[in-house]
Amino acid sequence: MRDFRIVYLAIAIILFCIPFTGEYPTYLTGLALLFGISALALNVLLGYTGLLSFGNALFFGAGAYTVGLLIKHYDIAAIEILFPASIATSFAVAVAVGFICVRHTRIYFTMLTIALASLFYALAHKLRPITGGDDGIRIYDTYLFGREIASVTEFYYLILVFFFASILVLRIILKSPFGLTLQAIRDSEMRARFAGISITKYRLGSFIVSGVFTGMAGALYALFLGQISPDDVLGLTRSGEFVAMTILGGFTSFTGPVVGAFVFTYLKAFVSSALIYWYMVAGIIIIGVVLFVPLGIMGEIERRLLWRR
Amino acid sequence: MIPQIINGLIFASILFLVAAGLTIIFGILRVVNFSHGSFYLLGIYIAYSITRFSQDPVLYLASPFIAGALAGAVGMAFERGLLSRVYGRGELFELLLTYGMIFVFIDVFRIGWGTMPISDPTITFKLGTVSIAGYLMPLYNLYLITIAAILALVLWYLLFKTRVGMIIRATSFDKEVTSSFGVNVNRVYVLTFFLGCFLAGFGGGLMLPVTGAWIGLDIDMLILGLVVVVVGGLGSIKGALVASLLIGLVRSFGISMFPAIELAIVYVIMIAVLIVKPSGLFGGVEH
Amino acid sequence: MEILKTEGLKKYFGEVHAVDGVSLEIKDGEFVSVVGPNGSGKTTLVNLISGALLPDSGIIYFEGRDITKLPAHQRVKLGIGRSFQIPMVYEFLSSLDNILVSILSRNGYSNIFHRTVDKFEEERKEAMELLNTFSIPLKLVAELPHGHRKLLDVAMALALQPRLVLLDEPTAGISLEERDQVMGTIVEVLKDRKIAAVIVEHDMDIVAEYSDRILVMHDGKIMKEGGKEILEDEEVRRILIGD
Ligand SMILES: Nc1ncnc2c1ncn2[C@@H]1O[C@H](COP(=O)(O)OP(=O)(O)O)[C@@H](O)[C@H]1O
Ligand SMILES: [Mg+2]
Repeated sequence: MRDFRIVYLAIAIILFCIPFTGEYPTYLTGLALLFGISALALNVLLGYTGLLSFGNALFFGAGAYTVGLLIKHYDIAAIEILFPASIATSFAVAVAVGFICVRHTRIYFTMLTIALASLFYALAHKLRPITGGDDGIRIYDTYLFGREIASVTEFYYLILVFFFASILVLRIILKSPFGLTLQAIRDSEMRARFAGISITKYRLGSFIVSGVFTGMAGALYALFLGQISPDDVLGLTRSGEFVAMTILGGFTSFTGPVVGAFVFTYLKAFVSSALIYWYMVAGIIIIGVVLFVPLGIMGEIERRLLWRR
Repeated sequence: MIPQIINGLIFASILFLVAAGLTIIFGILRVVNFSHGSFYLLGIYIAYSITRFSQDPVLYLASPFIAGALAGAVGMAFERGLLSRVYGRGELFELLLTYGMIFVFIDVFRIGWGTMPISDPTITFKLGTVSIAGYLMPLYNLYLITIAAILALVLWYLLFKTRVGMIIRATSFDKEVTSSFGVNVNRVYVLTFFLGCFLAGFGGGLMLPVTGAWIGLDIDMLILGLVVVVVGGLGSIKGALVASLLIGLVRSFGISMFPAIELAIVYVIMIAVLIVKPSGLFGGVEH
Repeated sequence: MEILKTEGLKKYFGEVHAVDGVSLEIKDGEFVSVVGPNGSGKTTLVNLISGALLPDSGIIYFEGRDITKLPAHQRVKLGIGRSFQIPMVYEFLSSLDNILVSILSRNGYSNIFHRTVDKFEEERKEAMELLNTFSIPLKLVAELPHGHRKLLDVAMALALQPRLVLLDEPTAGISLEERDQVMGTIVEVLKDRKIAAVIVEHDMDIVAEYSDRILVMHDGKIMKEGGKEILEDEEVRRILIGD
């Protein structure tokens, strides 16, 4: 365990130093951190509860649009208000949507998450007077405790703090009896029920945890980019990216989704700048991982480490 | 009223072709084919390419069949070459494989047919219009509805009145038992995938003169197909038919009455159905 | 005083009358065996009592309370535990965690921020003791052989400290030599904690040795009940051997 701590510390130091390398790497790493949290949150459902959500953009979008709509319609520019508001919204959305979804499992659950995310996507798209339609919303002039936050670096550190806090909190949640119970439900719903566990209650809990963290990431994303649109934050492709990142990094590992998010984000930026066919590459990566590295990067590494012992 | 109904029926026809394919593939292979919308889009693009050769109306009318057959062939290749390699590893991987295909298709479309939307309504003009209850309707639209209805009948006959259909349905109930009767289950899988993708490609081909194609339509169609399948009940063809009609007509009337939220209405219907009947209108038990 | 009582329980699967009017009473701390040929409805009966299935008709009382419509997990909370004919275990958790889930659930720890699982020392010790009692190695369950899974399933039920436990063929798949010892251990735990037990069992030597009472099931009905002498009954023997 000791040696892992050193690795974590090194990563933390590197992340802290990223802004000294320039604006673009900072921007890219900021995105990777946000997607890392989103993928981690997705994996609360996928890896820990055994539910594949293809609609987590719903929460990402709920967080992002809370920020956008409050700024657009109410001129609220204080991040210390916007952020809790986003948490509240994504919590409410997760509860409402969760009530419909958690009665279902497997493919039914997956299809429902898609359909419900599509509902919100359609609303954001069509309710132009409120949401700005597909032009989306521009977000600017935001303040944190009276101080204007504008530069990429400032947002980056905001994201970084949030990133570490999320990892810590999610780690605690997943190591708690609640987290253990989720894994039990994942492995045998039947057994868990006869251990006296209310399956729907725990599934709903898992859904809410996933939703709230994804929603927070979405809120930061809106602030960070200064621009949101339905396709970007609510589309099926956004949900799918969270899944792809999680699988790429490894859904059997706690850190896997973060690793996947980093690899995916950097690769996407690199490939799309060098080659126009990013989609093809993304598709081949997903197919390749499924066929050849189903445990993902971290899952594979952990498996090898375990074998060596 | 009449135009809305006709438009609704067109939409329902296409939804049915797409959803029937999805639901048949799910019924037999227990895989939800996320690339199903891409096969639909492939159908439109293929029909477009075919009709570049000549302006002959017969070729236009034949193009959906060719598009369907080619889409089906691509589907077979995908099933044999990739999908079959992850059978038994759980639906997560099967699903992801078909999801990955969406992206491969997107760039195939961009490389093959460019990034701009395509359309070709020539056949609509050539066939002219007919008057129904005082409304002028493109004859092609009636042709489309008729041919989809005929295909639905053929499908019903194929599945419920022929030996092949019996084998397919038996496989969907219990593949172990079926294979113990000497049926080659793998062949049933390929055939089913062909059939499902044929229907999607065929539906796409039919829509070339009506909507044309653009990248993004694949995902739109996938989602609508999923909604129809969920509302109708996974694996139920009858459900797909009823739900297609329901959603096709609701959407058509929705567009004329509440243009801002027509799509949202579709999803609300789905949620309502699922709250009242979680397994869908004609779904059996879940799992 | 009886802990469990059923009246006219029925469960039909189409034409199959899996459980067809079963009325029974189980007393506090009693050890009751259910025997009968395959397909006679033993597992279905266990499913009805535990709440895995709802009966078509009939009533189930647990400690005098009507639980016929109560969801399964709430029956567990009242004190009904069960194991499964085909062991149900958490494949990707350790054997210790498998048992820990039951213990944490029993003690009502569902809170996210309570503390991390490794801080529950009492509970871990208790789980470890159960593992030792049944000689189950501390391992990832996916790596355990069938026999150990079977025992783990039973241990998970016992970890709930139920008032009544329903064990569906707990010794199936366990080698002949080990059976007696395994059953001995189970019975010891049952007596120790004063747990009433309904056990579905095929091994008649075990049934004869441990049962306070035996129920013979046939075609969904309780055909005969009594002490171990009924195993010598002509009709009972014919049914059981005809199996
Ligand atoms: N879920 C079910 N659906 C249909 N039939 C069932 C189901 N469960 C059990 N049966 C039938 O009910 C009868 C009793 O089964 P079961 O209770 O498993 O018997 P036992 O445990 O005594 O072997 C059998 O004929 C079996 O085929
Ligand atoms: Mg049985």
